[in-house]
Amino acid sequence: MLENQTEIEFYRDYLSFLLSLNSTNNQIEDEQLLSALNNLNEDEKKFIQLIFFETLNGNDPKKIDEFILNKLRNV
Amino acid sequence: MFEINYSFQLNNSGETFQFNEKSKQIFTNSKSRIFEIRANNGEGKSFLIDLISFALELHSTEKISPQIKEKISRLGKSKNILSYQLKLNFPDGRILKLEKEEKQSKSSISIIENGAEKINIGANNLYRDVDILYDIPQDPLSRISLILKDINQFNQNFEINFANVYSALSRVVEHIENTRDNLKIKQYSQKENSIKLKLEHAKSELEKYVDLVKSVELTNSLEKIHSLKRSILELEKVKNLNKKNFDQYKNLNSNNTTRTKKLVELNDDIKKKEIQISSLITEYYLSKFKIYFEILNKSYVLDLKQDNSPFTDKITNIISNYQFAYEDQEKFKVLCGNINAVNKTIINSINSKNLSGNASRLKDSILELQLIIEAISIDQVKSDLISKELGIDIRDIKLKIETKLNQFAQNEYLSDLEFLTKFEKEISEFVNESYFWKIKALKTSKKDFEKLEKEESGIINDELTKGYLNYIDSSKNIDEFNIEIGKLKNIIIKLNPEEISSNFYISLDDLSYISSITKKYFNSAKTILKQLKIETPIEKSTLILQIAKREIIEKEKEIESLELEKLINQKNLEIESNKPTEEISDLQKLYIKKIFSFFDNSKSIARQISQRIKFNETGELVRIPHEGEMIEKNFLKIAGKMISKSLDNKIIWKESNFLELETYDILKGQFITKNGQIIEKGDLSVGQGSTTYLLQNIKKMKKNLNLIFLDEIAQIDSKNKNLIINEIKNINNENRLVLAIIIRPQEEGKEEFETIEIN
Repeated sequence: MLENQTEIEFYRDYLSFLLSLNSTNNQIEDEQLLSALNNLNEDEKKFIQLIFFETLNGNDPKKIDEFILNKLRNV
Repeated sequence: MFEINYSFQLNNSGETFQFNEKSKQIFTNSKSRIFEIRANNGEGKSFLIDLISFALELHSTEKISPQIKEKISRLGKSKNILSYQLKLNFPDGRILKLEKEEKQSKSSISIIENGAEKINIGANNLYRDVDILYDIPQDPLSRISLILKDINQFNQNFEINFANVYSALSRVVEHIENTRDNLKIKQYSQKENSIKLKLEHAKSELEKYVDLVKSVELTNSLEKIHSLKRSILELEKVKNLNKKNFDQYKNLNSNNTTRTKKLVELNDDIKKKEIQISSLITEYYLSKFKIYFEILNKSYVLDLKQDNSPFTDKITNIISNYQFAYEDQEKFKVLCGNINAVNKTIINSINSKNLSGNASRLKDSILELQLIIEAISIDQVKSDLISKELGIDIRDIKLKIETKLNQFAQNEYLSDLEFLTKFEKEISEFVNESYFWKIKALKTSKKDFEKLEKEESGIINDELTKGYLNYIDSSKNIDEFNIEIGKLKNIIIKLNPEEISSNFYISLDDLSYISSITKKYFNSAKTILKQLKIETPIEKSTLILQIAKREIIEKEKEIESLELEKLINQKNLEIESNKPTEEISDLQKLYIKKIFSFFDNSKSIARQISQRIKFNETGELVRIPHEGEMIEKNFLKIAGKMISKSLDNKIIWKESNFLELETYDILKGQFITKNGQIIEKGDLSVGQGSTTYLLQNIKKMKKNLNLIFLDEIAQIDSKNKNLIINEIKNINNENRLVLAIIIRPQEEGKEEFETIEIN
């Protein structure tokens, strides 16, 4: 029922939601998670979205690993 | 009006579909431009409008919803075999021709005007004049339910993909971890240097305390020697007095019993004192030797008893301490190598009182010994001789030793160490004694030597021999030497020969060494005394000994611990250095670890959402989130936004109002508009909403040529359907309608596929 485009938009929103989790609005108490989130800058958040969507279309772990490494080398 | 020819094979199945022949005739012959297709499910009733849309490349435009776009796009899949030729008559007389061969991926779009054909005008040019409406009127509520139900699967997909990324990142991080980390290598190297410095400091401290202990113990031993010396002198005094008395009595010209008795008493006492003195002298010298060997350290003495090599090593170490050039060290090592054997030979010869029988051995020994003496006390003639003979610059070596000794001599000592300073004198004395003793050995063998020279002429270098003899003859203090050597010899004879051979051996080099390290002890003792701020004389201070020994234990522990730490650090450095290199900087490593940390810590949230947010068949939440479950509640807001998007962010309300949607509140079942208006889900009227929406869209069609396709209009009642058809007729009446097709399921009992003209 969900069209691809809608689904991808949903993923994007969902991922943004995870990236914007905080202790105030979401009552998260996991200090490690909060620390991991606070440590991320905008570039790193974009990187997360990039690799998440890349893995959506790829099933070959080697290719995914290589993609991440290549992207990392250009950071 | 409308010519239709097509051939379609779905997924290369071999089964070819063509348009219903009867309907085809109706389309071709009809004067109308409005048609209704009625057919059962599975009869391909939507296929015609999808085909025309595909041929017009409608799926490449934004005129239709994503859902319809996808439906049309499916026809163009590479596995399908599709060919067609469609002709549509425009109201202005022109003919639109849409053609496609099997192998072509899209249509050739042509316009025939007055018999002339404009080929491949392109879809973009066509849409300047042509407008198309393709819609599937649908119940928004059922759409919402379907989407909500899909969220279950969506969440799972998200979680799976999230886990996939996490796994990939784990592998990448592991890969990076197994590559060389230059930052770590730098840290390990820095740590290595730091440990090295700590070790050096601890060892230096340990050495100071060890020196202090030795100094104190040495002082105590020296006190004993001085006490012995005093006792000897006192006994000598008494003995001499008695001897004087004895002589006086002896010279008396009387022969009475008292005189005789007195003489016997005095004689006995003198003899007794001589024995006592002799015993004390023995003890005195033995104590001296004991100290020297203590200084040289006990293990060294033990080694000496077994073989000669450690001795040579020891000498080599001494030379190393003086920082001689390597070449000199090697030569000096050769020179010193036989010192032990030389001395033993001489001692044994003296002890056995059989010098002549060892003439040959003595000859070599004497030559060696001569070199040793030259090394310490040298004159020009001998130096030249030795240099010529052995290729060693003895003066240079001597100079180096003297320089080093002078460095020690220039230091000032604490007043507390005055007593120890006296020991310096003792050392010098002993050096002389030993020196004299060795000279004596030379002297004793002089005759043998001369005899040998005659018997074996040519064996001994003439010049060297001459120089040696001159040297012996020119010794001024030879008588004094004889006296000293005599004393020593007496003592030696009294001692056990075996003990003598193992203990009574010390070279001039050793003595120089003793002299130097004794001064070194003084320096260390001085430093530590200053550190401890202790004024107490060393020889009396048991406290200092206690403190020093305790510190030695502590320092040894510290060194042991540092050595272990050093070993572990070296191992870590080795492991890290052996890892393969990867062209990833330390900053990049840090970067990917941060990314990994996010996925690592967030994957539980993705799982939590997937497990807690579930919808049943009718799109209802299986479980309502608790008050405090903010993550779930916030996630539902995202889902609500998605539902709004799937409705193109708008709903139709009342007769003709389009309302711009902000979101859909899943928990409350409410639509929220951008203006803040709240509309209950249950208040939406399906049929009415759809009709109003369609009427609005048809009214918006302002171009000269219009095509209208409406699929699945079953849910619109006949009244509303007529309203829509009338609106289409209005366009037709203005000669702006090319074609309109509406599709609905066939009623029961009627033919499976039916096309009806609407006039």
